[in-house]
Amino acid sequence: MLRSPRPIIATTLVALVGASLLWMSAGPSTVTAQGAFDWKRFSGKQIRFLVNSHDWTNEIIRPALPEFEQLTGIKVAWEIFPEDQFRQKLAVEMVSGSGSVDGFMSLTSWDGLRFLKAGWYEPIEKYVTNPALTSPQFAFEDFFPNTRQIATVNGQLIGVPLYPEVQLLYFRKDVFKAKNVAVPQTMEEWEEAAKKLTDKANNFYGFVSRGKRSAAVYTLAPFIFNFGGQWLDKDGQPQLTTPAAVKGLEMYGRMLREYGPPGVVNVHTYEVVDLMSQGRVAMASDSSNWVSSFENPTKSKVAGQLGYARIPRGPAGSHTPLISWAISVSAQSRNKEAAWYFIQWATSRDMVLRQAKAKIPVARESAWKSPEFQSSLPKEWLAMFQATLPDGYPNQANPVVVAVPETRDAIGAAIVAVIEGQSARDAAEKAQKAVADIIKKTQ
Amino acid sequence: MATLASGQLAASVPARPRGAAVERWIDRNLRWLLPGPAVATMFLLMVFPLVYTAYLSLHEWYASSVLGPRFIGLQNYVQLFARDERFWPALVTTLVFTVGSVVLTVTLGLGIAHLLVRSFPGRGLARTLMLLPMIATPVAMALVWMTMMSPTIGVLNWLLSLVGLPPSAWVSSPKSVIAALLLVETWMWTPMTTLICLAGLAALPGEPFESARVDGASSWQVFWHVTLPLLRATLVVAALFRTIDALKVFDIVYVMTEGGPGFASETLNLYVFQTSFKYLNLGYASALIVVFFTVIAAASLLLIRVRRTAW
Amino acid sequence: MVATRLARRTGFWLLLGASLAFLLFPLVWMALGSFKTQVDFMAYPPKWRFSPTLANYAKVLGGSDFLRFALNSLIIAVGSTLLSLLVGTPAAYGIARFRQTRLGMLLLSARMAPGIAFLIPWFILFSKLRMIDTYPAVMLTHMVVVLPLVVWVLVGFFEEVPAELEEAGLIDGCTRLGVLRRIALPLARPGIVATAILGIISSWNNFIFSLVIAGNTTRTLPVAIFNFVSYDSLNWGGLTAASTVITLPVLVMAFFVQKHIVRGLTFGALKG
Repeated sequence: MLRSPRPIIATTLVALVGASLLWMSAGPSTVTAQGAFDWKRFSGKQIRFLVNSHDWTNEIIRPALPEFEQLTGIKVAWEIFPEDQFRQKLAVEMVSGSGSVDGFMSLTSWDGLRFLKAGWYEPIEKYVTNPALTSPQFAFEDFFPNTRQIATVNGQLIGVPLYPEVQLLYFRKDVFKAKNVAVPQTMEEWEEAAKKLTDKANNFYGFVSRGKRSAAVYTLAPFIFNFGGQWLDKDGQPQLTTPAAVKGLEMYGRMLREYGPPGVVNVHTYEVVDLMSQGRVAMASDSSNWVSSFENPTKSKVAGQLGYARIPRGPAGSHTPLISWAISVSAQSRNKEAAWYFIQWATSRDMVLRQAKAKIPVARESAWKSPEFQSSLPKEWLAMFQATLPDGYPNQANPVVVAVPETRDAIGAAIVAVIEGQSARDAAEKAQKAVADIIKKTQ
Repeated sequence: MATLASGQLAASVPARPRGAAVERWIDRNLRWLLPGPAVATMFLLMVFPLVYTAYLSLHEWYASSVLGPRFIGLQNYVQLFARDERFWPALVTTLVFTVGSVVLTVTLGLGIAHLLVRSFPGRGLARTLMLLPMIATPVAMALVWMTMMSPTIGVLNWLLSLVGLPPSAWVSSPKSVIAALLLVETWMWTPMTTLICLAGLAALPGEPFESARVDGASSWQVFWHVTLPLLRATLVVAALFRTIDALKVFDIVYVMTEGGPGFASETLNLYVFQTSFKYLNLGYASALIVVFFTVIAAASLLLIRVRRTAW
Repeated sequence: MVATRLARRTGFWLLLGASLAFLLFPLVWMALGSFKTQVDFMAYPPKWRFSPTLANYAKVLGGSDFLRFALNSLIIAVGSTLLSLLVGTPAAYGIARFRQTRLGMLLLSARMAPGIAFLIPWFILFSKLRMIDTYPAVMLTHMVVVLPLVVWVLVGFFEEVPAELEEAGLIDGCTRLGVLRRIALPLARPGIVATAILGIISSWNNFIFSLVIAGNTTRTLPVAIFNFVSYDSLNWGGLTAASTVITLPVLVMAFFVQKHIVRGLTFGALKG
């Protein structure tokens, strides 16, 4: 029953005043001077991303999700899993075809071919070049050309590259100095240094890298490349029994066996980081990405004491795989544009600059060259990364085939066998046969 | 006292219920209606999927492929038996693990049952505490065991050092991984065999023991010549349950080693899982499942046969 | 004579002590460790004296996700158990009353099949029905384990119901169904409760079905702890705290039904 109209008038006046105040104080993101890009176009949508556990997903994006929601009105479920579980979870969900995933991360060296063949990627070329869907600030040209190349599979642009990585040699400057050991430049010197620096009595080891089946394939790669080997020949057949590959496998296994910590066959990348951060090893070779963890004093006991070097060279030089995770829109998504909005926000200049400030390598040139990035990261790391980049083999973290998990398991088993003392030639032959079989069945 | 179990009820009482026709119809057909829902559920949830799996095993199908399943007859089985280099080692690993688990748990279970069958102060508490490893969530406990088994700072190696033994690599070496897993499995399931043996022991008649003691037999002789023969059926039952469960072991292996190092601890169940949900090779995985199930069924039937003759 | 008896008694207590020590050590270790700081946990030789901290529990329980997963475990456990009781109780009564041992054996054979045998078809089916990561789907999969267990244990309890009482009911003109409702069920009620708890424990502990069929919405504790540990593999304090929190409910529940665990496990075990 209607009472006095006064409260209604008062309320309406207050609302009007309030609304106009809000309107006037609104920032440029909602009322753009250019008047072009409408961030709130898909407001109210809910999207779900499945992503890999990494400093970027955990420390940069997750805390910033409320900002995105405020900007666009889109709610994001950002599900993070450690790598092994992430892969399995993503595969299971995509196979189910339920459209429950709107976007995901992928490592094109690993997932690229399989996902493309399965039709899981939504090609984003048409989004990037569409001014109605992409803010003019996005500037895709700002991304380094070879990162864009990595995010392109069989000619299709399938995602936005996130953090390019090569492999580096991390070492304890203080330990090297104390024991008067020079930074190794060649593979032979590398093994010598590992030997000199191992002190088993004090639970201190000269070298660690991945020993876990499947994960270790990535860190084995430089050993094979530096002796002149390749994963596949030009016909796509495995090259695991070439003298170069066998030599690389043998050296990798031997170094981990002799100079690595006990239980090295269970060491994944996360344990490599832990062991180095806790000061238990003198050297580690793994992804360049981990610099952000190593230089974080809350996580790492050795922050500030690490040196960075290129992976020591072999007869064929020093080559590491060059890979990058990318973030993509799922072809099954029912909210593709909203997912694209999220991706362009997460990889926008501002967000990538934040990433750079957190010492996570970036794919944008502007962010890379920014004073924040250049000053926040150790100079040596920057120098070594830039030196390694031109010699990197794009996507060669493992044989680039469709059935990567199975292939990596087969090669990984060979690595474990050699670490355990088996002959590298025998292990390589077994892996060669298995991989050839796999390729035949699945290509 | 006549109970339902004695079966006297069904035969003796004439059925003359009051009530409507529907009620009488229900009553007459009760014997089929009662298990009806359960059987239907089992059929839907189990029988149908099993049949579908067997059907799928005759096809080639990668789940990530855009193509559907393709009929290939028995080719998966040919590949499995003749050319699969991971199948036979997995089978051997599974069998070794199973035999080890059965022997260890039944032996320990029998021993502990002997301790718990006597009456002593605190027996109730002891019996309850004894159960705990079996009840605790397997995945959680497997992870706790992993921390205990750390090669460098794990408490188990410390315990070994206390008695002068060298440290073990536990799950981080192919040589010791099966033994390490067996340790965890034995710990987890000895309570079950203990319970079964306990019930068996408690049900034994007293006379054979008394006569043996009167005849001057030592404890060991009593055990060997009186207890064991009488308990054979019980032991076979315990072995049967343990065999089935050990053949199917998954949680602790997946969580602790994922089949590693290398493939050293890859059991059949784990190999099937990797093939299904990691490699997404569903057609081949189905063939592996059919073979796997056959192995379990064969082992079970064998043990049931042994039990029948044990009577 | 006295000496050997004393030796025997000592031997008995030593053996008993050793057995219990073996069986309980990991649980004690887990509980102790959950109160250790990271530094203390990493110490070697292991520390037995240390100043306890509640930080691990705060981290585990404080993270909102953990409680959500616990709730999921509970919902799925109770749901699958209730469903199993619903269809399993009449079946168990029928097996007990009408001596349908072959049916009993059929249900037991369900135990023989490895879970993975069902997972592929379920996965395909639930995917097509868009039911992946829904409570009903996960509950249904858990029923494959809980239903046979429920029937198995309940048969034993129903067999304990005295025949005379049922006879009396029938003579009075009660229908067989009525006998079930008014006589057998109330008498077996404690057994039903015990069975329910056993079912809940069994579902709570399940890993493989939840691993594949559950997703972010329905993730249960065993899967959650597995994910957590893989990333932060050296956070032993967090791991043991999480493990303690996960296992404590089932251990407590077990205390209430421990008499019946014996019955349940051994009932059918020595018969049929």
